[in-house]
Amino acid sequence: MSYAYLFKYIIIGDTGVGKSCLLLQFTDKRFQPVHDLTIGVEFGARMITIDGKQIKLQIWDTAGQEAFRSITRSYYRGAAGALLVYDITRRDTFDHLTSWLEDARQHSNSNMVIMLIGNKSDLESRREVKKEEGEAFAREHGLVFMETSAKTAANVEEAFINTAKEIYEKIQEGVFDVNNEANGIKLGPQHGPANVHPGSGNASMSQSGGCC
Amino acid sequence: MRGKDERIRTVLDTLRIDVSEPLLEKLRTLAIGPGGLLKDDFRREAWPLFLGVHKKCKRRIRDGVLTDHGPEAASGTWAYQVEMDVRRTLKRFPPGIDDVTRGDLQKVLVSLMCKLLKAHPERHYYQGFHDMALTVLLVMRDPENAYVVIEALMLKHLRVFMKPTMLETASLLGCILAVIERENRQLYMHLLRSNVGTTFSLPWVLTWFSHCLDDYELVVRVFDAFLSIDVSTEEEAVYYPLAVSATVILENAAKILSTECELSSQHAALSPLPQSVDWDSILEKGWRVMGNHSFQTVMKGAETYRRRADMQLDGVAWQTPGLWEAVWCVLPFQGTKFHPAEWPPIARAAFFGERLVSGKILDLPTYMMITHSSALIVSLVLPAIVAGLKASDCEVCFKVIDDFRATLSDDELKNTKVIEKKFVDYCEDKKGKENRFCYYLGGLEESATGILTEVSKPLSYSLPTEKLCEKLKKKDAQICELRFDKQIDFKTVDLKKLKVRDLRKILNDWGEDCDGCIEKAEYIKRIEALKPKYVKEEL
Repeated sequence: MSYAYLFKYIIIGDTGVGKSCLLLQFTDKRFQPVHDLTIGVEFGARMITIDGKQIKLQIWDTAGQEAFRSITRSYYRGAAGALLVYDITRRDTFDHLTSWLEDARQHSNSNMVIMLIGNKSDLESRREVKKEEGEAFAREHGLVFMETSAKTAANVEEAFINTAKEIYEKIQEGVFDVNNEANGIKLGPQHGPANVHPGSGNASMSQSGGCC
Repeated sequence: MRGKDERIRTVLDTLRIDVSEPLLEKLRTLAIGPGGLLKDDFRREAWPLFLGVHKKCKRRIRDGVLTDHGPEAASGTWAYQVEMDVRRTLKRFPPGIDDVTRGDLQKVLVSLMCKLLKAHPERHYYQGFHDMALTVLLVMRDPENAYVVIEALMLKHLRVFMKPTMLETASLLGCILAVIERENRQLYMHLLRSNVGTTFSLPWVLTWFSHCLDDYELVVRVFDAFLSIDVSTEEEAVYYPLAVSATVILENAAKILSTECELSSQHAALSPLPQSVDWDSILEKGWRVMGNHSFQTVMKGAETYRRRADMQLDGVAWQTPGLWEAVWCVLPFQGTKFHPAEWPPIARAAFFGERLVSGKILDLPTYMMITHSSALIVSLVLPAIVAGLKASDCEVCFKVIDDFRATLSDDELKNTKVIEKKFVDYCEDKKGKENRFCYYLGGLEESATGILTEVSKPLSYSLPTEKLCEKLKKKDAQICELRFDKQIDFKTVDLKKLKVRDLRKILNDWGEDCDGCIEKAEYIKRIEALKPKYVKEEL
């Protein structure tokens, strides 16, 4: 399937906050109550439409454990969007946001759109982080904020698509140089430079590259 | 397999009475061979033996009963993390296990890991360690014996992975690429250009593939092989899984090469490979790969890979091989390591220098230094060094070229096409390092690239061997890095004193095998029988 643009995303945040589940809900529209943990990185892809244009999202899901940060860091660069996820039922995952954000800002290009996600909104009874706190953090750091549930799919589409809309707007404003792949944006085959061969990229509806 | 079953049983029965090195060696060979150790009953005894901790395992090692005492409550720095990770691990448990048994097993696993991590506070838990521990627990069944085995793994095989960060692990993964570079250069370049990196192999190496394989029998079979490696040096324990990872990729070279040379496509093609390979063959080939390339050279190759990959990521578009070569040459020039054979391309690097500077690889002063000094270096220093090329500097080239030249008639020497054809024929039955040499030149069917004209032309105008090898060295520095293995002196050697693996290496070097051989005596018999064919008596 051809696309006008390809956007590269990265999902980051503490281990167990639901990064892989958010991705699975977005690409496959399903939820796995027990999802095996991610070692290293995995990725998924899906087509969306913005402003009548087909856009392919290529989303890299990273291991959350601290020890792996030195490895996953290299995936920040070349990302146009990032989903920074915490778990609303675990205060510590919220407390670590600053360090994640520092990491992301330091290793990505300055135009990267970052969306703050408070996941597991279905577990209201176990909530430890108020919605207002998330909003305040986002405001303070210039992020877009949303609470989601990978289980009920609440706001999941919106989180990924709104991020794409922001990136798209930045392209329209000329903030992103679409010819530099290091920005995490690639022109589709029909728009692309001569060295992109039509048909060589097998852009299917959803594609994934997990280990297992 | 029935025969093998009997053999393992016999070896274990004897080992139970007395642990002797030759018998242990036999068990190691069985563990790598087809099907591994076949049964958990055998594994329970063999694994601790391999690790040298069998004396610490006392409780009911043979029949192994899953715990009969309630596990201690989890505690310690890692307790929360470990508990969370074990709870998420469902698919690794044997199919058909009921919820209650699995729940108990999970509790035992958590307390076991917490105990281990508490006893070794300098070791950091990593996600994937639980996959390792689970596999051991499922085989050993008794938690105390499992403790002993996992502890031994933590101290050697997994030591590097258990550091506070994965930096050292990440550079180790470069070894996979370094092995590929030495076995299939075209594949190496393809992977390098795609920017895929090595992260795809992280779950392979950190969990010995257990995170990626769904079949329990396969997981423990792979563990048999990895555990069987004699760990008198820690290096080998770490190296084998890396060599096997490289083999998994090498065996799928065609598939990878036909996949688009782009990060996500490559990542998607590489990640699931372990699920669809013939593991018996992979483990055997991986073992041979270790014999062919020392860990030291592979580590050096990993370092080179890392530098190349970093540059690649820095956004210089590699369009021409010339530019590649130029940059590879400039790169070490900035640092300390710099091989004289790589000097000639400096001139070219200077030519491309402007593009390098614009690609932010070099700062301007470095660039100026290179452009101004390269001509001088090339014209003054280089000839002085290269003129000194001696047979010992490039022994394989000297031997092959001399040998090959002697097979050609005067008429044949006049025609380069004939020379090339003759060279391919000559290479056909070459083994070991000579085979490698043929491979580098393009004299083999599976050669990735060919520089045969670099041999045929000089031969046609009778260029002396030292000059010819010198030219080849400039084309490909690897050619002169080839060294013949130290020859075993068959007149004085006592084959009985060699290890089975050395005996297998001898046969392997000869291109022979020893089908169904298990006993050391069988290998020796085979070698003695073949000796007249391969060992030239010096009279």
